Amino acid sequence: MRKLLTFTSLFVALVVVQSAKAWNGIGHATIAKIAERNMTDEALEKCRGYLKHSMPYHASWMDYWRNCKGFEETNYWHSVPLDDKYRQQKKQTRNAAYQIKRICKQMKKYHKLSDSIVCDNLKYLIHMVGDMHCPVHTKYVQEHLKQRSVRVKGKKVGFHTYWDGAVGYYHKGMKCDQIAEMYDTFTDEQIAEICSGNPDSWVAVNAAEMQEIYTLLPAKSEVTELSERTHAKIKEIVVRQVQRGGYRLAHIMNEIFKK
Amino acid sequence: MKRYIILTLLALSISTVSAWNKFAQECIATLAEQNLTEKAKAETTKILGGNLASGAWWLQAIAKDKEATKHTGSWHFINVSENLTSQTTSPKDGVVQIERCIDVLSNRTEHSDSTVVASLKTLIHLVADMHNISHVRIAGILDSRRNFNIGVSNGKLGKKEVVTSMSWRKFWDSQIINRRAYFSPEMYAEDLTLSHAADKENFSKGDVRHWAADMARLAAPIYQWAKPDYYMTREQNNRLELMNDKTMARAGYRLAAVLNDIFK
Repeated sequence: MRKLLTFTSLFVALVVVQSAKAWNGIGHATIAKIAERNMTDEALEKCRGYLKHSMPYHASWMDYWRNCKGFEETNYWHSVPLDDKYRQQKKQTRNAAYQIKRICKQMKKYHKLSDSIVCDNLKYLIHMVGDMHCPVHTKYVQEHLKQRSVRVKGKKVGFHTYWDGAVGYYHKGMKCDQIAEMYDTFTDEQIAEICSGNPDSWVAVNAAEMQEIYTLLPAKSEVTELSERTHAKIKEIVVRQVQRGGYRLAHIMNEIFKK
Repeated sequence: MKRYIILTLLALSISTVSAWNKFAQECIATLAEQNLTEKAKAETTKILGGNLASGAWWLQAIAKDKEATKHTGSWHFINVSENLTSQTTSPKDGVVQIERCIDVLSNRTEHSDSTVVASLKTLIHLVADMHNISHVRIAGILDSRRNFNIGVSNGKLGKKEVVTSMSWRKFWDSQIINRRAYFSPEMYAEDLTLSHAADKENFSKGDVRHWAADMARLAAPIYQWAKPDYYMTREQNNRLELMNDKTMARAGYRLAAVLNDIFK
């Protein structure tokens, strides 16, 4: 019995360590890297100057600190809640889009803020712009659009966990800068189109598009048995959201530091 | 607060020889490479047939050979006295081996090519390892001289909290650095430069004995709290990552300094 417990615990530990190691981090870092590649020299220099690091380095900062003392409220800033008509709950402060808009407004006068506040604001933006583009971070209230679990090689895996980790899952063995280089292929016109609008209009598009992920990956489905076409479609959604996140993050940073 | 203590087999967390993992070694070597003089870069490339990172893991790779490990296993650690200075002359000590490698490379015309190559690869690896907190053995501090298990919290609250049991050396050898395992070594080196370029001159001062003393001063206070079964919070883990970055920057700049001096 004891041996079984030890073995089971070991198995769980390996899964936990692996899932916490990089998959979620690689998505955020890739988005931040795409953003860096599309920022003006001035914006990049200023941003790195405040951060004392690259943007990918701090891309998971909110995840590392979310449960630490003083950061408890930020636990609710990682996703965007919708109402029963698929509209964003705009007045809900526990909303990534709301917090992005709040910080962008504050950062219009960034030169009047202390360096540490600017630094923290940048770290919040880098993470939240990434998170609001993560397919499963658009929160529906409809029963058929709620989180379930799927299976990977027979093992139960949270639906949320699967989508959060999808960048790593579909790019095994690749580093975030390699993935960023692979997908940073859009023309200036295409980037301008992606960046038109604002966080609210970006959420509205997500709200319409992300419903698809619940039909693509039904509850209890075995991921390894999905058709190639389904995997291709999942990957297409993941890549599109990473690109949107990266270009829009660059756009936000360029706007903040254009003065 | 209920915690789920997860047991991991110690055998999995400790390889034959403890060392900073391959990714950390490559990041440090890459930072060093970026700070070499043109002459040092040309000489090291000629000796290794590649960049510094290509030779960074060699000493660990040969550890698979049990016979080789008998001789080199202790080299990954440095030993300092109670007054936090490095005075040992034992060939089992990392600092003494680094000095031996410097001597071989400084007088490379007197040695065979294979000895020169092995010395350079050993130097790259050991300069990195001596900057790993868990590789600094301090006289009079028992916990610095042994491995023990700690519990590392994932930071979640209540039933969602998971405390992973891991060895002290595994924590420093790979747990912290693996947070950035999805970076390329070039990206990590760039980050270390962004955060520590201003410290380069200060870090590079002195010789390997000074650097050992510097690391001992950094490590000694840690053992006031680091004990077997210590419970590490997520916040503390986050803060130690910054310290780890700083020790990696020290290692990279110092490796560049020693190579620039050898090949001046």
